[in-house]
Amino acid sequence: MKNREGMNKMNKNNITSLSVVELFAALSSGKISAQDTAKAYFEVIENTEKNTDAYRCLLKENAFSDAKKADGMIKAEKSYSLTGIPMGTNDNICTKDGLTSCGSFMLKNFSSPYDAFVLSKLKDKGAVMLGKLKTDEFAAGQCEYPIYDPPKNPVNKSIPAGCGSSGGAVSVAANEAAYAIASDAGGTARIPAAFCNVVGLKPTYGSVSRNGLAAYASSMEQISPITRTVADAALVYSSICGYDKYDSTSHNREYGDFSKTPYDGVKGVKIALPKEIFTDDLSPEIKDKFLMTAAHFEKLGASVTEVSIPSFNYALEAFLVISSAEAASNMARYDGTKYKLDGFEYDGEDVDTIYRMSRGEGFGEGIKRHILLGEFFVCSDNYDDYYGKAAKVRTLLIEEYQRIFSKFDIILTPTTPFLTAENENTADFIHQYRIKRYTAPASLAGLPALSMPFNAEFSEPSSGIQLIGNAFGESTLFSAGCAYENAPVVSNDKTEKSIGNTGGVNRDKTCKKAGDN
Amino acid sequence: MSTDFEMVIGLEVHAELATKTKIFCGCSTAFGEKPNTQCCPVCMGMPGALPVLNEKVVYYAISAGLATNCEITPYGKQDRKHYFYPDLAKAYQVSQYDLPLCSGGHLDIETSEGEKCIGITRIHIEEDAGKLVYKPDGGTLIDCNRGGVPLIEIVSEPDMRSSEQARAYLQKLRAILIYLGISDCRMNEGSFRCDVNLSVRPRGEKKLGTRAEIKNLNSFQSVVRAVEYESDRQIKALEKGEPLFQETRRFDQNTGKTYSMRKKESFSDYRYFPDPDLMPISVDETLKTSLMSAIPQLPDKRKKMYIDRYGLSSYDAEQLVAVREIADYFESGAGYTNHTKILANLIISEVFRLLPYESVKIPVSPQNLAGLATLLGEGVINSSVGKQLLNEIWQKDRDPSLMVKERKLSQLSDEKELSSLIDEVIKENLQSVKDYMDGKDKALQALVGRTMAKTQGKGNPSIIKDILFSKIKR
Repeated sequence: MKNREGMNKMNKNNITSLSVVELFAALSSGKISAQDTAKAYFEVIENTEKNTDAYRCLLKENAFSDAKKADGMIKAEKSYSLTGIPMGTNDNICTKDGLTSCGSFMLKNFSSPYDAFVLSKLKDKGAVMLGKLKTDEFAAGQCEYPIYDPPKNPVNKSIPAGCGSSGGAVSVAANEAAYAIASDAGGTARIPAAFCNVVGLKPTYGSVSRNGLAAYASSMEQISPITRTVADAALVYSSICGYDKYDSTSHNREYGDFSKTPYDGVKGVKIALPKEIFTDDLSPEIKDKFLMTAAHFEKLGASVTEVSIPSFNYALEAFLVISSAEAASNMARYDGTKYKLDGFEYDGEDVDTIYRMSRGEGFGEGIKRHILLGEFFVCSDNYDDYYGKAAKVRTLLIEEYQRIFSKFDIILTPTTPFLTAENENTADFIHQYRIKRYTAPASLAGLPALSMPFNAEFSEPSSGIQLIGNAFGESTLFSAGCAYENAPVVSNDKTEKSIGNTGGVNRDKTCKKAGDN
Repeated sequence: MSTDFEMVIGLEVHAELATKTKIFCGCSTAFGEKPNTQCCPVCMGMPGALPVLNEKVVYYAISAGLATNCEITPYGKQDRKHYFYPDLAKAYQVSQYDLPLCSGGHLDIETSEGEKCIGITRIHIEEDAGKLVYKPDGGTLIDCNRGGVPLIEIVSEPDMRSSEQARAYLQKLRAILIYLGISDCRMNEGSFRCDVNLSVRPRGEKKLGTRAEIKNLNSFQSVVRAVEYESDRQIKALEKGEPLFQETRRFDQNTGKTYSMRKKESFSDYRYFPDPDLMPISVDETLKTSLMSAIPQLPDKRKKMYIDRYGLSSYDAEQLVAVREIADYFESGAGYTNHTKILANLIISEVFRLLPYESVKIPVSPQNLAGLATLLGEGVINSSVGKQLLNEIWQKDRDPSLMVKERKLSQLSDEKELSSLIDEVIKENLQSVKDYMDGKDKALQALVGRTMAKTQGKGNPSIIKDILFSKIKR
């Protein structure tokens, strides 16, 4: 340790409240070590988990050995932007260490023989994985947790943590991880991020390898970072994006280094506001905040124009059809013969009985519903009317997006039309779909989408704001997001406050370039 | 078979492609290894595993299509075919539904009834399932080695009308695939599988009858037997007025009968949809041209050559080209003799008989067999000596002309010598002579036989006969 005094100033609360960008600076300068950082995080986790329930399992030994390796790399000046920085990984992303249960009884004791491509990349670059983070079953966003207690929202206690990668959002919001490697299919990283007042990015489809992500909605999902700031999201995305020859849907192109993207602000940026978002189920509070945000962007120098994307009206249903069909297909392999269910004795049973028993007990109601719908949509009688039509809607939507992006840089929407708590019957399955109304369209079209907290200190729980960009246009999103995140804002009670109310700690979210001090 | 009915046969063949690795992963395709030693998360369908298409699989499939006159699609896609079965790791098989790589082709066959063109509806690529191993004391084990091995499925039009035609089609198809080098087509190893679709209808009727699909056929002979039994069964049922069902039936090797599998059958709705993990397959003219130019000389071309250059009959030529090694052998031998028809005949009637089942290792060099053909063709030896020599050189390969010299096996054609021997025979066999005079033709054969014995088998049978005729006039 170089600076003993500096070390004393950095207690566990200070360390764990640093953003990834700040932590990188502190580690590079020798102010703190990766091992001490990991230690600080585990201490916070120990105190916090009883309130948050974010982690599925902790990997202390592995984390400390990763941290030790990271310290070596930093000392030898052979480190990367995420070296030594502690993170958590979703339960539905394959890791050799720990379990990969996908939040399901089906895979409760499953231990993967390989690491997801993204994770082995991060490991090589000295990342430190603290543990696996809880998700709802297969992170599909059905809000069911058959094998463990659901994570709890640490910021907005009156609302749930959001469905899908809930553990990811909660851990980042509660300072239990500097960032999370999560997944997003129809909004399952963005929505929990919005509910927990943190940032969630669903990358352009094909820019992050899906190798090792337990398949749910294959044509739409991506491994997605959840972070505290937009600058952090850029850094993490930079490290995980890239071609993977073992993923046939991975795009082979030059990806660039987003950690060095100049954050230019939003002067002259053309923002489109689709009028189709003003549906009946858009809550008045969210609508107000959203419009305030749009006005705010204009204050910052962007232009905001109302546009029409007609297929937005059908995107949710198309998403339901396609994701159900893919889910049914991807879940078919879990049949009890390969991954034996806890407490089940099969000897002597015939295969049909094994299938019925395991799939009956092994899946939660939400996933079962998803599967049954999916089978219905692709059976030969229904294929043309459902799957075929949904595929056509998808094509129309992509075309309409192309038309918009030929004139605009960003599409702006709220992240969700409402908060789950607002609807009494939270188990209502249709409701679970409607909450994805604004996040599903970008998933269908494979476009990048960034969710950020509303830039204001509002007393009531809030959703977030979503920026959708053109394919591979993440840098536009980072630029605009950073500008918004850092600008002073006029809040409800007309006092100027800067943003940053996660964990009650004032944070400087300035978009410094990684390496600046 | 009743003259009122005809059988209508379509064949579905699955051939394993001889690529080094599987269709979607780098696991080896080698046959016969220890169970579950050639698999990985991809072919075992573990969570998070993704497929990457082996391009050789596409090239081989297109070659098969080009060799059978098919149209090659410029844009193919792969679809998931869903059903639950323990040997199917992902509970779906990646196959091709509505945009197969090849379609609308044909191949020509030859049977005792003459030549016929059999249509090929389509050829597509798909992955094989694993293998189930039944334990003797009950229970089933799964071996994933075969899961993910690349297959092509070749579907014929229902153009065949007899078991002989079915066999000829399979023979020709197999020959083509082997010539192309894309599959070793060993039915006993499972690299060439055939399902039969068969229905019957009154002759002249255009509409198809109710068809049965017959599975579990592991040799060409089984196909023939199954076709014979099933067509008979269907006709008898119709004649009795009993109903026929569209069903899957299992052929039993031992009884030679087919049995309904109606209970296990109907994986009716496969819920096909395009596989979201795979990209469309795009085939351009450059690829087609380069694959076309890499195709070796195919069976029919060689057959034509044998007919034109060597004067073989169409039927004989068809027999020789059926197996590429045999055709290669024949052509090699044809370089050493002018008596190519005799050489062909030696191969078809003698060599085929001597070869163990499914083997193509001929222990006699083409040169020596050609030498034998020459000796026969020039009349140096007679056919029984020829046969005897062949049996000997089969055991130990030698130049037969040397053996003829050594053992003085040349045919005895000297008329004077034969004439005096025949006189002896006549004297010693007066009864036979009398029998022949009385009209018993067989008696002449006996006299020929006696003469042959006197020549130690070297006598020229036709000259002996002529001399006998002249001496014993009826």
